[in-house]
Amino acid sequence: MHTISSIPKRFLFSMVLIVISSISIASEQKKQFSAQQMADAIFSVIESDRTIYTSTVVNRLQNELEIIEAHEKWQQEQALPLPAQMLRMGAERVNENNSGFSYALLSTWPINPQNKPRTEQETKALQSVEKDGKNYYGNESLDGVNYFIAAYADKATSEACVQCHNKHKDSPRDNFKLNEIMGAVVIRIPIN
Amino acid sequence: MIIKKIWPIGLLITIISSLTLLYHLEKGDRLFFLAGETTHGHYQIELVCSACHSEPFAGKEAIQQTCESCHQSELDKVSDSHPKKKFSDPRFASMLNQLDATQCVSCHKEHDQKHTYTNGVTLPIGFCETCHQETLEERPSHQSFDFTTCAYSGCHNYHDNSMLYEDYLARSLNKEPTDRESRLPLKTAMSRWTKKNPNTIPLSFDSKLIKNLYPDELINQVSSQDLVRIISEWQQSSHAITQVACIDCHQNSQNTESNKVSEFLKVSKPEISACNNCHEKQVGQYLESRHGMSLALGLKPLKTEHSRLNLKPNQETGCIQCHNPHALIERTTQVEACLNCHNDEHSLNYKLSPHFVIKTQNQEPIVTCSNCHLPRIKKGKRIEIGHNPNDFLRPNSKILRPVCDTCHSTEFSLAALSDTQQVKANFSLPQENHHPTYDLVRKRDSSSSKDKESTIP
Repeated sequence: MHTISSIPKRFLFSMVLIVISSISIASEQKKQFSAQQMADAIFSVIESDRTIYTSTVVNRLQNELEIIEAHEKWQQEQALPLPAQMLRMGAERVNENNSGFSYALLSTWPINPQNKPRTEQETKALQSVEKDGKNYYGNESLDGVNYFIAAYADKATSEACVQCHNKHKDSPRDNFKLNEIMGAVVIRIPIN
Repeated sequence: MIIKKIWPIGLLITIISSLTLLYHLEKGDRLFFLAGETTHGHYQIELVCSACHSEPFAGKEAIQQTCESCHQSELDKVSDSHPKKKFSDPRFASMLNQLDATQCVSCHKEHDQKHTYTNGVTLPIGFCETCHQETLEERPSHQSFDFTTCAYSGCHNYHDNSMLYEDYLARSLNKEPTDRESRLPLKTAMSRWTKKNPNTIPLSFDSKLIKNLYPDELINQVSSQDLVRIISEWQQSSHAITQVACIDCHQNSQNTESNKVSEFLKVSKPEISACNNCHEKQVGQYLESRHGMSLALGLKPLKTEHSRLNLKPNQETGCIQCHNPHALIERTTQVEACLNCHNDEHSLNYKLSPHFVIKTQNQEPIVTCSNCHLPRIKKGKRIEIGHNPNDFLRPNSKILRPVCDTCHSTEFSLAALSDTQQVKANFSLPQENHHPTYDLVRKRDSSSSKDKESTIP
């Protein structure tokens, strides 16, 4: 019969290490899982708000009733903000309030070059989402802070999106089609 | 032994030094504490340390808050192109390490006048390159420019690009430089008041109403020549029409119930609070301006000899320095009041400018100082008069839509405003109807297919 003292010390040490690593990985997965749930929930709100703003405000007032136009210089033109601007204003408001997460609307073909992917993970996320339309999840470290990053396909849901991006003088593409993926909503949540 | 002998001397020196510093801080000359000469924008309030340093040894965040408390609303109004909230996104972390765009002091360092350039910027021109290197690669039309010209040629501004976007600029393509038939919008305040108060009879000094308001003691003072003149001017003014009587302005704010002549005479020069009773919005804008910023912080009104601008001495700022509250003569307020103080090239050249030389049917100048610097702004059915010249001054493109566009093509005005010699000459030099920005606008506008500049596939 083997006693505990007869088990080689090196084996025991390895086992302890494996257990600690497993616990750590499991805990990390649990953390990522909850961050993912949070990101999914945030995206659901962003997406719902923008869809409703697009259909019940912009589409109704601009296209159906022809009361007021939407314009990228909405303050100067006394017009409605574009749906994408509405989303960005929400993102800036979240930043202003230090809400504990951030989001951005990015594209490989943005009208404003500042909205191109900027970090390695953003590039990877955009490539992945544009390829298969599936959500992308990953991790990255920026300026010493670790983030859970999630990206969700942003599709041309109405003819207005397609028309505007194809006709805009600063748009790098003029061949977007309805329901095509135009970019992604990227959400970041700090995880430590 | 030596230490024992000299410590009382050391203690004495410390106490004297501390008391001297304390005296200067509380009662004496606070200039003693200035870390360096303040900027053009802040020198008027430099002795109110707490305006920027809200607490002793305030950190970066506290200083940023004080910047925002004075400047944020103006930035919001012009849809700031580089707001702090945009750069709080962690995706900009690497850029912020090069230039922290979330802190005003990164570009506007105070107490460093030697390195302060136009608009209070303390970074060398060309700083746009820090974040926008890709522009030259992705925009072939910009390849002949360099980063020192972005903000100094009337093309782009860091904060306020509210009048420099393509759709707006393109609207005036091919327009005549000047439409000589155009006129400024008419003011609406008086017509709106009389419409709302149709049965109100203008006050008159002889009327029973005025006699009821004031005791006989005051009526007897009318023999004074000045008082006769003042009352005569007032009777013609909009104050008399709107039933604003002497006592409404000349009351002592400490004793508003008193109608006694002795109290009345004490307040020979009403304070700004008297104007604020009826003109709150205008007074608010005035206090945000360079004219009123010292008063807003509880300091004495700025005296012109203390200004860093080229001003005539022995004048001071205040409502009544521009508006004679008795006469309220528009022409005086719109030109002479400005020239009473402003003594720079631009101001002195006004009377050579076509704006002054060309006269209306009433032989008035077609455009006055205040028509440009305190313009008439359309707000729904109302026309409001701006009371903060800075709202229409820096960058000077702010003046395009509310003022210049009334009579000129935007290209003509933009070309004039971006030419410093022309501005100094008060637009009296010959002016071409051409600005380089419009070469780019025309090129893109005339292109039948889209002129895609980006190299992204």
